[in-house]
Amino acid sequence: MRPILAALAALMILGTAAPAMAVGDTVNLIFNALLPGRGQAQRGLYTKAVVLGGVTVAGYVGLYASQINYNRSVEQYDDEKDTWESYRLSLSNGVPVSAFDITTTGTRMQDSWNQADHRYNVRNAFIGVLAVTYTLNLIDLLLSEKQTGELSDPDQEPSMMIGRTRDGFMVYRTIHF
Amino acid sequence: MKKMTYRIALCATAALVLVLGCSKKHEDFPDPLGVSAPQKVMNLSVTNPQLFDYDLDWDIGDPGTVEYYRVYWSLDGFQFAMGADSVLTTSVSFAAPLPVAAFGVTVVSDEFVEGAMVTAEVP
Repeated sequence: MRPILAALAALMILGTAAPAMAVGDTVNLIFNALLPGRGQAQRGLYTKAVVLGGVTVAGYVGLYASQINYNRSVEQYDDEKDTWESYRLSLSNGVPVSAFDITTTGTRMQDSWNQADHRYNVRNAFIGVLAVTYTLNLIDLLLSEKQTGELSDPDQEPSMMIGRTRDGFMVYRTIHF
Repeated sequence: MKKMTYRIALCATAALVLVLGCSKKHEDFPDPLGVSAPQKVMNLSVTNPQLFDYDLDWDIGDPGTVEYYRVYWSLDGFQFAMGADSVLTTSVSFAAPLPVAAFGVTVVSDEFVEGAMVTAEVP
């Protein structure tokens, strides 16, 4: 799981470096794939861009927060486990350990294990959300038509055209009767 | 502004990589210690034949599982301190430097687990 996460994060880093790089069509597609919503925004599909971008940001924030929570649970579990193992060592060396301490530590260790297990699943759910978002974004980018400005019906005249003059541009509007 | 946004995104991503990369996993739940709570002493009685001298006596259900006893004493009846360790008999005479309010006795089993304390107030 960790290599996948690292790769995902590395792709994010590459994505954030996009403006600094030379951007061709393919490169642009790659960066759009790395930053969900970016490509949709470039095509003017702002609702889709906001949804994809929002879910991605929420996914990363959730992943970050859930990972921190999970780390805390693991630390707590490790502490209780160390205490538990020190009891085992004491008992094997003939050093008395209180039954109350054994019971309390055992309960705490089980609780922190359960908590860590739950937080691990929450963290993985955020990874799943990100994976689905990235997949949907990629599918959307690959299936969407490239906006070239060409008309789908060549016989149809464009309703608006831009022409170049000697010292600027001129906008033409064709009106049919 | 755009550059700043990308820098913030870069820092956030670096922090995420750091957090994910440094994470440990919860694993290897340890085996049980394989010990059980020892029995308690019964009928603990304290007599005070002389000032600062105390005689303690108690019974035990199954002496075969007892490694030794521990005797605790308390000046206020709440905070107990160990007065005698590794007591092998079920009665002991105790000379305290101060007037004692209560005594407590615990069993250390042959698995070296110390059980719950049974207390008795000094009459």
